[in-house]
Amino acid sequence: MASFRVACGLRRGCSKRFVSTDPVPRLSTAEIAQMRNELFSKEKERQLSLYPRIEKIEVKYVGTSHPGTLFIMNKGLSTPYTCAMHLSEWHCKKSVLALVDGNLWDMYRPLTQSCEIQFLTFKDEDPEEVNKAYWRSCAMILGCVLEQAFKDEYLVTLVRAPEVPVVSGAFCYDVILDSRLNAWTPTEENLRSFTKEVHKLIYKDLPFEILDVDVKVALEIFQHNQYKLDAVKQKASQNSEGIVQLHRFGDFIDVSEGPHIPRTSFCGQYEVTAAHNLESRQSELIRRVQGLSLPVQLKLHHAVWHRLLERSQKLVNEDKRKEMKNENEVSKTESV
Amino acid sequence: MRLSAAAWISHGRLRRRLGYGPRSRLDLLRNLLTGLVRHERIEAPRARLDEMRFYAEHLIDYAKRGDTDPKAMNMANFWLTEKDLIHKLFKVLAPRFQAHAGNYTRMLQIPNRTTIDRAKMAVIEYKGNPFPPLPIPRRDSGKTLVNQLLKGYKDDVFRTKGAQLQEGHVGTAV
Amino acid sequence: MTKVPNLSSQTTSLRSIKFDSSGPPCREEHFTHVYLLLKKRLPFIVMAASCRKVWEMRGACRRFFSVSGFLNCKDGQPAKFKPPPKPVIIDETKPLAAERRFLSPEFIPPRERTHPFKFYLERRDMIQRRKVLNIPEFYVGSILSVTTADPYASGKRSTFVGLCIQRSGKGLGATFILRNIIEGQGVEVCFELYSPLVQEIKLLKLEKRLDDNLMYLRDALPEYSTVDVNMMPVPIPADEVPVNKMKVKMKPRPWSKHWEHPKFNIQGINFDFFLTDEDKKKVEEWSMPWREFDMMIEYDTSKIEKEIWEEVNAELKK
Repeated sequence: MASFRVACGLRRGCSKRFVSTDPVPRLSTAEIAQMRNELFSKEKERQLSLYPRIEKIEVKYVGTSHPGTLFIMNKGLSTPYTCAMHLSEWHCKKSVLALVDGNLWDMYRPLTQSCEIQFLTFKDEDPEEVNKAYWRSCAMILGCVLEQAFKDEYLVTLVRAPEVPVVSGAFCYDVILDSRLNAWTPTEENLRSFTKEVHKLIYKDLPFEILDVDVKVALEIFQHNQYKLDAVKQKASQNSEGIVQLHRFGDFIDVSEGPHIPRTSFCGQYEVTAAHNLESRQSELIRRVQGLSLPVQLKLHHAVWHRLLERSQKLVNEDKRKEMKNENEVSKTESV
Repeated sequence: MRLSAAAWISHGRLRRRLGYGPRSRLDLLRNLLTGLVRHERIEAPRARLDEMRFYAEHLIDYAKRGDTDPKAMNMANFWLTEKDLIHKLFKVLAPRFQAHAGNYTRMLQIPNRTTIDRAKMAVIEYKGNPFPPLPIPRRDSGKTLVNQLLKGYKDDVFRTKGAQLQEGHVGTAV
Repeated sequence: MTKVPNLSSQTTSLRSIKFDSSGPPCREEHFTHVYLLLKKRLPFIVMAASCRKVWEMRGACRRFFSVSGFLNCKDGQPAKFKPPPKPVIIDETKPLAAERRFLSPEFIPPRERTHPFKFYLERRDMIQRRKVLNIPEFYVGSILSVTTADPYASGKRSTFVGLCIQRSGKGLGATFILRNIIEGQGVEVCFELYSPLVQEIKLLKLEKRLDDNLMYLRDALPEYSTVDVNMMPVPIPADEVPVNKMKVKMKPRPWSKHWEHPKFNIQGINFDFFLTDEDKKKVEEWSMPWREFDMMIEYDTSKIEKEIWEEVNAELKK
């Protein structure tokens, strides 16, 4: 029944060009993932082939540690991580994001032109962007686990990962499970098995790859997920050139809201703590799965950690942030 | 004396053995202290400076008694091997720290020595000197991930407590 | 009554106290005390702790006065028993002594990393004990008489009179050593200040010496540590504790310790009589002139002393 509904949704949502066959044959999660990966790899190779000749660019390091360092790097090939490798092991291990000409840049995103570079870590003066990226990545790992944790006969549809501020205490991923699972509430043991899966991923130390793709390709990749299609369209409409940013680690691909951490092994403590049912107007039951995590670089006493875990079981909302933003705007206007 | 005594289990050892005995130890520290009073900022092995720091602070305490105090004068005479510095101690350093009670020095670790041995080195200075400031290692800012999480937790606790208080207030009023 | 003059003479009373553990019954002993008190009219301190003893003494007084009552009856007056007027004892020394701000040295915590709370608890117990037992102010060099419980003594108590030559220990475990020479034999007894066995501590003479430790009296001529066992309490001086600047004559060397070593810093011996020039040179070598400049050795207790004195005084007044 659910599949039928999803299929209906798909047909309603997508433009007819992509959905050619009438009843979409239900693919298993693994098959979908494989298909997405193939498309992603193909696109990546295509983009690499755009730089047949190695061209040199000058990258200037403007951090505090090595003043006046100038790298001669390869255009379209070299990443901030390769620059960090020239500096020191410390930079390789601790850098979470790069600041390229004032823009946030993934550590594994190739540099495209001569620029100034700077590295951001968890222990910076103001690590707000890094924290956001970490929260985003943790949510993405959670999404990956949720997609793969269930048996093939159950359909799992990822909705999106709401951007939750760190202060709220937990990151989350919205998901729609198979309608047969509507009565199911995850026990503590279930959550622990999710956590175990996450730790497997962390142990694998998978890199986060980034790819800028055209809307067309993105829509093809996410053709089986209505919500992702919506997200892609929304992203494309925001961008003037219709380019959508995708992230991949392992064989999980997601539409990205911003930069991510370089590798999964940056996560130290990680726990999936709760799953809540959201009230929504749609017929499907949307669940919000929440978790709490800390990077390896930051340690916490176990007593404090358990308190934070308790807190992270409360339902988090992204609306708070919007409200705060609105308030800020109001106050700004008032002050003006 | 190790000023962070609580952090380091010393098993009753209050001081380091330096030089060739107690006499030599004081002589060694005396020369260092004289250097510190003259230059106000010196580099030396960390252990020696750590020992010397205690004396550097207490010498200021004595100097604050004024140059009419015979005990203070004797101390200054012993600890400053170059006698022109006695004037500086009583007329420059003592007035500078008149408003403070202790904590007159600042000690920071610097990279290990590479010439003779790999001794840990440190730099010590009297506060309020005319040199450009030392780069002080900064502490964790309140914006790190952990601190943000804790801040959220604290806010939550205060909010619930405030709510409880309000409820209690209403209850008593009724 | 015939016994009284005998007892008052020094030799017999000395024996009676020395053989306290085996000899005469205690009632007689009190009797002598009272007799002596009345005869010489010496002021003596009423101690809260020795309440029981005062009561017993009163009993002794009654007996004493009853004789006179019997004598009065000869005049033909009705032989009605009249209780004697209660002796009003005015203690002139006490308020003056209380004015002096004195804190017993065992109250000052040693310089170590033990948590101050431990010393606070001990102080509380010490104050409890001091409320029951009057521990007078005394110094090394003072003469004390201490009465302790002794299961083998007759009357279950024994008294020792001697010169305090050392005070040591901090907190509840504080001790002091009394030294005396009895029948040509030097005797030292170490008493615990807060031991429950100590029943009475009586100050016979308040005095200081030049040194804080008189252990060198062991090597001094016996006359310097001999104390009269039947000594009467000397009135306590009002304002300042007198310092006895006596220089002690020592027995010929070798002594039990090198008292000339600068670490003992002994003022009470005139070493010129006992050391040769060679010895003096050696002493010079031992001297450590830099020690007075080592600020790490200094332990300034004035502030702690003030706080603790206030705390203890407030508690004792409760």
